Amino acid sequence: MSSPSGLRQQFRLGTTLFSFTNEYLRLEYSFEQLLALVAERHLGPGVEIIGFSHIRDFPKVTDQFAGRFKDLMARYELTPTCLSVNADVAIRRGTLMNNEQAAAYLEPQILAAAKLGFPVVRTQLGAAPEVLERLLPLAEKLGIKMGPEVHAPFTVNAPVMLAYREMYERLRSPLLGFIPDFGASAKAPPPSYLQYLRSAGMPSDLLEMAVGIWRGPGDAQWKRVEFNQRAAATGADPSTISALSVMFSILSPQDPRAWLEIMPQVIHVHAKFYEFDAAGSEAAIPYDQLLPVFVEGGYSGYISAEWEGHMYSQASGIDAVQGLRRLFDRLLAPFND
Amino acid sequence: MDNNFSYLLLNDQGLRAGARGLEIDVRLPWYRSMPVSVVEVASLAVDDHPVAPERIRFEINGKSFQLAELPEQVEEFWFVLDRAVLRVPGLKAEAGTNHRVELQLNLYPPYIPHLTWVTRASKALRANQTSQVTP
Repeated sequence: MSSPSGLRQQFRLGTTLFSFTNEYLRLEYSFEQLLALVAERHLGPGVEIIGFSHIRDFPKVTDQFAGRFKDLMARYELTPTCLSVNADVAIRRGTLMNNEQAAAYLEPQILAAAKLGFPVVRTQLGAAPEVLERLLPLAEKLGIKMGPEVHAPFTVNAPVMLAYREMYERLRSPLLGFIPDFGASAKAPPPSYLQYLRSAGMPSDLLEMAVGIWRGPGDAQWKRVEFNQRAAATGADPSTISALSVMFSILSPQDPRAWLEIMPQVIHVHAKFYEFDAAGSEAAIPYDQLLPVFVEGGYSGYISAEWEGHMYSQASGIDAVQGLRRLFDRLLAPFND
Repeated sequence: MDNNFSYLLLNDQGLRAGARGLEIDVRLPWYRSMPVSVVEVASLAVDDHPVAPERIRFEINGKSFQLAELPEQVEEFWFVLDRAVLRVPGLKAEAGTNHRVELQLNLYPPYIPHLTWVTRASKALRANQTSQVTP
């Protein structure tokens, strides 16, 4: 039986190694072992990596490293999808790089992506529209797509995103786009995150304040500032405020259909997730709505499974990504029959 | 309170005593490598005695810095799987004795302006003898 709408899934699946942060930091799996894991557990074929997590001396990439990486990808029949790069504009504390400096900082990272065979780089908001415009000639030379992650607390219509959209409209380059992060379409903070905070001794009044602001009205970016100010006014300990403030940076609410506005410019996707309920659905992020939206939009790039439970849990990222793939199988079946 | 990286910060084999002073191994409490410029050793106490920041050296990649020098180290990266060493010259401990180490390490993730990531750990560690290496 085909889907009632006749729509077919065109996008492909993969995993970002960020999902395995617990295993990697505990030294249970090396970078190369993580690649093997993705192949063995059928969590590819797409593979996304983070330059500054998985490559020593990044953005420097030796010929030997690049050759070995390409060999392993070929051996495991995996496909490099996206290199996550970082716009470290506040590398000097208390100051920000100007656009010229930010472009110079990103340039070797884009060269690294080309050397490793990644067709896409994930940038961040620190690389303002003018920075991407400055980098476009290099991206054109290398054939690399680039774009910022649309990540909590921002929406597709946040002023910072509109600035990119205006620039894209002007330049009309197929190499410029966006990388939606599903954490920007959350419906609630993950229950396991709230449980973790309670068990770690988080004062309940502060927790309620944070959740109340998260669920309440207002721009998601404003909420983060609002929480920090109100929490600081209570005299709460900085480590306590820091642990709660993260809630506003990882998840924010947005109608899943809002992604359709930028769908033609989507170059990669982060399927952010935390935990599943008893029925195997994501507890905080509405995948049952999000995946059909990306089918409907005709998205044909890669979606990386991105488990971020390691922000507060020692649980296995391997089990988590396998759980997401089961959810994908179930939700996408109507579009693949 | 602890965060999910607190367990990484200090480790059971990570305290050494010897001629170079007391050495504490430290893992980076984040998922990616960081420029040393955004690392701040906010407080260190050994057996409930605070150690003055001027006495602490931060050692990484074979280099040794005073804490006050860290903000300038924008080219020096702390690889996410590596151990840095906090060294306190002159602080003595008997090998084989246990000591409570309390550390607060702040990170200013350079791609998230205005975020201060505060990680604390407190652990009783058994001092090993520093191996005979040239400093």
